[in-house]
Amino acid sequence: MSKINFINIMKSFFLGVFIGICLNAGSHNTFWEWLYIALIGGLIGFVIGGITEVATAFLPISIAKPKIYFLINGLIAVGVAVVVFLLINHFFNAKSMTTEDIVKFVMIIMIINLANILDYFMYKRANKKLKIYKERIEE
Amino acid sequence: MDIGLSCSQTLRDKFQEIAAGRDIRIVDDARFVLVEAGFPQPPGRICIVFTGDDYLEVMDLLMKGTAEETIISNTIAGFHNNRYMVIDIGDILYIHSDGSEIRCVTKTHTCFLKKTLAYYEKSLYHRGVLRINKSQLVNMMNVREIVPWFNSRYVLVLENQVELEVSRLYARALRKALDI
Repeated sequence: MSKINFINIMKSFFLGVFIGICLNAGSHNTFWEWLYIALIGGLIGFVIGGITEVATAFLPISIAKPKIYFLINGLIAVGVAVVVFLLINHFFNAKSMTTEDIVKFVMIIMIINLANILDYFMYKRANKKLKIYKERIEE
Repeated sequence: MDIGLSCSQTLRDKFQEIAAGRDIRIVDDARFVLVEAGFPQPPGRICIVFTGDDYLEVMDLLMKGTAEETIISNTIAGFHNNRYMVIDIGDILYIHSDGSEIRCVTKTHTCFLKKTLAYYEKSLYHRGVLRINKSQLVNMMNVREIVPWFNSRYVLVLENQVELEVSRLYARALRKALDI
């Protein structure tokens, strides 16, 4: 439990809120509907973030490799997308899904993937900084 | 390091307290003298004048100065097979605290060290040896790759393929040191 970072869970909450705001974009919802959707997004983000933090705390560092880290991240993204798709399918009959709904669904996946791509660039940056640090110490 | 003091008794006591835990000797004929404003400046010496308000900065400077002094050497002393040996700092992979024992793992040996982990953390910081969790220091010069890991942790892959975990608490310090 000590490995769990609650800040990360809060970040997931705000990512969920952001996705909720994106889903609201262009709609003619009232303020309360807008707030409701954003908070639901945040709640889903909070739950997914919490599950992810707890589940990944049990992963041994012996398997820590960049490929495995990004593979697991990708699998989490796919998992989240599937959950969202199933929820949409359950609550709003899939047959009645409009092009707008599909665009929103794709948008969610894109935001999650964007976070993963950003993470990949952070990994590259960290190793570049390590090289610079070594050069600085050598001097 | 020898320093002289020309200040009030209160500050003298504080400086002596700091000096006691470090490699600083307070002597009368030192080349450098810390002079509190308003107190006499000894002739023929290098005087560093400070006011009563900024004495904390002087103490900080003194502590940093003496910390740097401990890393002038490129080697540290270790104990291996009942013999003392000289360890090149560049050869150190990581230093591990295991209860009361401090083990130093180098490219070729594992030997024991005499001082505390906190001592090596402070004295080798400027040589690229950083604390990565509560019981380990790692020589960043021998780190091959930084692998991001879950729960805001990192895993450092060393030149000899050993993997060490950077705990969440020390990951922040690592990011700061590397300017990530």
